[in-house]
Amino acid sequence: MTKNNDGEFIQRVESFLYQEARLMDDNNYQGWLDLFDQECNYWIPSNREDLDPSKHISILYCDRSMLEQHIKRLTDGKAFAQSPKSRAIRSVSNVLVSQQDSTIDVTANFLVTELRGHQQNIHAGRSEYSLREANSEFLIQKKKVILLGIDEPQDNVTFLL
Amino acid sequence: MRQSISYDDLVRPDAVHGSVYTDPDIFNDELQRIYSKGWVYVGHESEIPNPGDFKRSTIGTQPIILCRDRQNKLQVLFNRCRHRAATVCQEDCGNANRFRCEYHGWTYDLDGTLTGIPYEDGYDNLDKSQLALSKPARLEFYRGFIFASIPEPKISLQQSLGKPTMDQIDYFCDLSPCGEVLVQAGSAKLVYNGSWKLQMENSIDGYHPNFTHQSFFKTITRMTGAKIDTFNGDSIAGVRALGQGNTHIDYAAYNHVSQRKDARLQGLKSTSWGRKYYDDMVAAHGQERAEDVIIVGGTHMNVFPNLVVLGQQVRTIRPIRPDRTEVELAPALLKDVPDELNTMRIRQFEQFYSPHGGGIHDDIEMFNRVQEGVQCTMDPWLIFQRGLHREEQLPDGTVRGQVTDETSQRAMWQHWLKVMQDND
Repeated sequence: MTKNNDGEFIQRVESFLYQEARLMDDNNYQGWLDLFDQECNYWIPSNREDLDPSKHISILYCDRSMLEQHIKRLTDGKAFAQSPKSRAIRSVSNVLVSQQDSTIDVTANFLVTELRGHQQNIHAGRSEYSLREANSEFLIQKKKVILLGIDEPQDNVTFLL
Repeated sequence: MRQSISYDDLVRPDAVHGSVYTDPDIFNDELQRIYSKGWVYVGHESEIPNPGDFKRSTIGTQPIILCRDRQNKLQVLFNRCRHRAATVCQEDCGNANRFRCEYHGWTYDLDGTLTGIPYEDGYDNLDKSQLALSKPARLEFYRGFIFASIPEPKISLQQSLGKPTMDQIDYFCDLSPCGEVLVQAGSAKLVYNGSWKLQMENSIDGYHPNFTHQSFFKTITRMTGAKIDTFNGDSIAGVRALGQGNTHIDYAAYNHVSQRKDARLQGLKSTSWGRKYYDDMVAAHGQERAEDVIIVGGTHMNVFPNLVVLGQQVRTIRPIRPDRTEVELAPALLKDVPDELNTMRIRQFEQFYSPHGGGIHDDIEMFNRVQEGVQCTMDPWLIFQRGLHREEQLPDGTVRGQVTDETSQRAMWQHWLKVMQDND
């Protein structure tokens, strides 16, 4: 499994996930986007986690350029579902790391407590990442977010996941 | 007994009273007079293609199971055990051999027939044949769309839809060479704190896109260079009242302008799969109809009270409370077309309509804002006057306004008034 199976390496991965969560908490869209590789895939499946995204809709399915457009739209001040913005606190836990060749696979549970319009909501889920390391930094090649409420009617979930 | 509500006092030709969005008594009347009386959309045949397939849904707030019985016949069964009312189906969708109430073990066949009662000898004179799961009196279909009427309907589904509405459903389905759509690519489900009528008003509202959706249009312009002028005050796109409260945003004239038309057809024919699709469409429908359908690009319409057929999707609206509504948006794939086209439809759908998409949540945000605003009861009238002076009666009986006009909402509200007053 983990070639680099030492505590220090796992700690670095965890630290990376905490930094990602913090960037999202701070609504630092650009900083968050910078964690992604130039070639990347970001996927939030809908209804079920194991469906083929070419035959089935997703909550979000995008490559780097679509992700950039998504972020531009959210930050242009006229995306009213995020105006005013959500405030959110994310907790990340149950981090599992495995490494094969140069790809680092990570899964982690998350809990987002989100406040908007005087209403506080809790969203839980699991994220699956494929990371690569370049110049001692991790980059996200793939991120898949599996919401606990994957098949439930969603209220406003337009904050970062 | 509460006093009956005088609906005449709530809907004017050009305005609607705010209480129609908030009053629990009005909501209860809607459940009785709209959802428990007329034709209501319940699902699409392709969602349950095989015997035993089922999907849970609602008519108004009443729980139903839409399913296919052993004879492949479509059934709508109320999800309520005839014994002591527990639901008999818990999964949202799947395939079943029977429906069994897990409270006391009563069992029903897929057509609703009561087949088993545990320790049946404890009953004296219980006629099982009278205890099938309850059903609406009538189901009727139009091109795969299933509608139910709880009492015997006064008019047939086709009369209720009317030709202009059926023509629009035809546009949607004829985007497939074999004329069939497949609602089989999942769905996005949304919920908001507002009246179900807010979603119906909004689906055929050509006035709001340039404002509510400006971030989306800017994204399109950034990505493609195209400037969206469809919803400008001088656009030649229109809105239409189709009759029976059904309404339509009419892009035909706008899309048929030669520049746009040529670009669309050439764009399609520039890929090998697009070329194949074009050729298949021409072979199936003839060149004139095929090109018209492709250029117009389906439809954008409401079928009163709870169905929206729009772009690539079929949308069902479910009232929950006066101030709570669920919306299910399901992309419709086209049967017998290249996979690339269906994948493109899925991506286009997500861009705007998924819970993380660039459009629908800005609408939902507005519904929440209206529901909050309408708590203010001073000056209670909402103004639906736009374009009343310039709407035009067309030879087919429909009424057309400019795309930003409120012709469509007025038609919806006048039909709502008519139905709400019909209390026999």
